[in-house]
Amino acid sequence: MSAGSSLPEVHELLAREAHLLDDRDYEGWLELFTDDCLYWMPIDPLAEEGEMRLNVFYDDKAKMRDRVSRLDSGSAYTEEPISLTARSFSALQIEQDDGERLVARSNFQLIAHRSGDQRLLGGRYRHRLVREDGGLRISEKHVVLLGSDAPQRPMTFLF
Amino acid sequence: MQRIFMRTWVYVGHDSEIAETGDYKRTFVGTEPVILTRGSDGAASVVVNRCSHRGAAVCLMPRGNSSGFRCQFHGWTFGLDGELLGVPYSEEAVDRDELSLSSAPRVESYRGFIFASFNPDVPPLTEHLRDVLPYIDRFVEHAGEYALRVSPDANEVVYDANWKMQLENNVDGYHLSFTHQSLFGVLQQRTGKQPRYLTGSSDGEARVEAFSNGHTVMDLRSVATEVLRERLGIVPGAPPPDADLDEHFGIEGAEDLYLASTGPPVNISIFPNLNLGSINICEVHPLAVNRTRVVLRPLLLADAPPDINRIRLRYHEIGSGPAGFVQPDDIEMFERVGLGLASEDVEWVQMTRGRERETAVDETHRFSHVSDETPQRGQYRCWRELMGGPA
Repeated sequence: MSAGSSLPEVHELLAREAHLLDDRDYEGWLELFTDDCLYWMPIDPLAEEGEMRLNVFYDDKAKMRDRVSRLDSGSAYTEEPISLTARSFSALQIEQDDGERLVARSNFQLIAHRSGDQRLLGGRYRHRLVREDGGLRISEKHVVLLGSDAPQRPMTFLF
Repeated sequence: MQRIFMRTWVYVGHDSEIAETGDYKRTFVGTEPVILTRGSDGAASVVVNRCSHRGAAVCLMPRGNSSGFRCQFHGWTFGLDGELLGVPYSEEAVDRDELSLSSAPRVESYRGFIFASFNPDVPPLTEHLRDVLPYIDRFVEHAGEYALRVSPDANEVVYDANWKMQLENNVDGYHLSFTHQSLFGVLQQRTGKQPRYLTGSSDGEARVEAFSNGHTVMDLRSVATEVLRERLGIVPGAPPPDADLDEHFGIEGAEDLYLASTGPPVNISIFPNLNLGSINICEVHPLAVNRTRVVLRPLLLADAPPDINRIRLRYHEIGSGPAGFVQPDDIEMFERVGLGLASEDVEWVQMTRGRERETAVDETHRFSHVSDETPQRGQYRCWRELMGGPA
């Protein structure tokens, strides 16, 4: 399979993910991921691996569920009142595609608004995808945030 | 800044951050930009990050290794201790002593924690810290014989409120069950139990304590054992509950080392800018009266199995940093206080809890129930003294 032919399918998946997050449909978002997935944001934007480094987050699926249940609990006070988010991604390219496993790279911009305070965050996404039961699921979401190694205000919404 | 941060001892870094000759760390004493360096004689120096010529910062990198610093503006070069080494096109005599980088006159360390003071007349560091030395010892020895080394990466957050909020919070036993309710919710969901640090009646063993020079401690002792163990159990990659830990980590006595990944159940606040708690070193940097930067680094164990250090990294990430499950909720409360204090109608806050029941060993050394505000009063007693008001 030539790289690029899966572009519309990947684009559709990432757009769906973006809308699920902005709509705060966290359960729907979790379903996009494989059971052995990884969702991480390194502190060092150039970090190639995060397992033996300190990260902003390095979540397995169980911790992603914890993150979501905390947000839904009403007592995660940085999200009471909630942050509204609108995100877009661009420059999507399929870097690898062997038919079963794909790597997709994109840039993102995330606008978060809470209590009159509007922030613009941006960076790069790298999604590793696997084909399961005919559809694509996310096995790794690697978020490189510009400024992840600088002081940040709380960012407890999802990326 | 002058009366507090330039007058007393201020924490600048851990030995392991500048382990080798030439290692440096860019940091601040209050708002004074400095560089902590390790010289070829093994001594630590704290030099002001300001070229003596026209004032340009000579160091922009957060950390690194170098034989010295070169100002890129006009090429002046300085040694690791700030000594002026070179002035390009220098045809007139240069007073090298006069034009070396300014430096903190006092730099001393205790068990790896390096402090600096711009006040040449401060008492020796160990005298300044005397009452909390046993607690620092306990913190340093929480993983037995293993030497501590800090993670080079740090989680950094910034908030819109006063720097003292972070110092107060580290020894505030009262807020845990309320501000951090969502963390307990996560633990309950995972374990099916209702873990709590403090239940009101069973917390007699835990206590808070205030000492001389504004240093304070919150000692949770065995009250925290169960909740910390459960928190460790939700770490990504934690061994399953029924795992043989010696086999899992490939060493003998692995259980103690694994359980040490939560740190000692004691929080220590060294006035004015160092919080020790969990396995973290937390630096508090005032940026303005209502803006603060907080730098958090977990302590890893030199020569421990990589799996142990991996657990420690993941443990830090559960609570700390801008996307953690704990620290952001503290910050939210600091900022809500900042919003509330905009009131001009009400002048004072209540910080009186435990005033009647606390035990006063002497004027500064007091201890009380873990939920009491004894440590916060101790911090403000020191603050008032340094600010020069009535003692």
